[in-house]
Amino acid sequence: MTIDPLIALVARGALAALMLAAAVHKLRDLAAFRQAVEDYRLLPAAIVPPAVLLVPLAEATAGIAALLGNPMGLFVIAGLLMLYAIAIGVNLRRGRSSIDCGCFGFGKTGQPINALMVTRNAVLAAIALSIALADVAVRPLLWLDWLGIACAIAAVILLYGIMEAAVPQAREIKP
Amino acid sequence: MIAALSVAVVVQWVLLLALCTAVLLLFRQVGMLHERLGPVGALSLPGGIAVGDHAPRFDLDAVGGGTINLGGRDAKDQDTLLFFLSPHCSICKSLIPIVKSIAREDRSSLRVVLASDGDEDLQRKMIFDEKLEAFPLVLSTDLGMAYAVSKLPYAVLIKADGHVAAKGLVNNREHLESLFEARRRGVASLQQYLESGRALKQDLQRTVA
Repeated sequence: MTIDPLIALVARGALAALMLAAAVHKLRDLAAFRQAVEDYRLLPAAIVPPAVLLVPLAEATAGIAALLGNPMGLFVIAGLLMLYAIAIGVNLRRGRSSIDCGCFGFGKTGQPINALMVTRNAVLAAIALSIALADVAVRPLLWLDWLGIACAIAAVILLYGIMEAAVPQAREIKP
Repeated sequence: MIAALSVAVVVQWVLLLALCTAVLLLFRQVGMLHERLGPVGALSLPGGIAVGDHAPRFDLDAVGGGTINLGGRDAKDQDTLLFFLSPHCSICKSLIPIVKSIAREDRSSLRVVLASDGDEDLQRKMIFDEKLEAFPLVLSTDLGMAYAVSKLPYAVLIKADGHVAAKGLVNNREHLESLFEARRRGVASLQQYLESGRALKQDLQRTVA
């Protein structure tokens, strides 16, 4: 399938922004992230310290790679997102729904995991994969395209923030 | 033509971004309001059965037929909102629509029982005037004494397992809803909530810092 370069660039930019923001969020408070990883109870204790460093570094690298147009970046992003979805899904299955998700939430921490996060990550991973696999048409990009790309990425980031703010509130109102 | 389209696209992008920003700010403000609006706290008057105690057993005849059982495990696993009112109390009348709307919202999990005492004809007239036929009304002075109801309108929330979840003088919707909020958070009184709130606020400040 061939897609317009504008769509591909918007998706790439938004996913890269998500990954970079997530990496910065984790690196700024490694202790909290380490606690979150331990709470997931998926990794043996010996692997936790390196994993705590490796995950944000992988996020940052994949984000930058995606931004530079390297297709591997998108594959890694899809992989990471699916990994989180599985980790959250396994813990929901175990009934441990109150653990800190350890994920990026616009400055908030201590967000408990829920089923919606699994869906959200799966959808984002699917988008990353389909963009990575699709053929991108070649056409000259005008200034209007670049403006559109920048604005669309900003809009996606804002909408993501709105979703992050709205979902916990909806839960608060109807527990 | 191209110029017109370009201008239109640019203007739409600007407006879209402004709209997204506005919605995000709006949600943030709603979030802040949620944090500020804790349970207001129905005024808890001293005496009577304490929150957390077993509700005393009462088997009362409802006006218009039927028996109402209060206390003990509820047969239908419903919570009970016991609303004390009287035909002479005007604030009670202003609360009746609110009681009705709460009863409607929580239809499956809540049973609303009205309690009063005194002249039965006046009570029947109140039921007719205020269209309260859907709720059982019990007339019992002993019930009011047991909960030490000295001022009206007064409400008691009894959990399905027979424990008193919250009680107090209710003068408005916030007071009435605070009873349910108290049940949800497991707080007995406003004082206890403020105590726990202080710990929470310190937690929040740490997160922000």
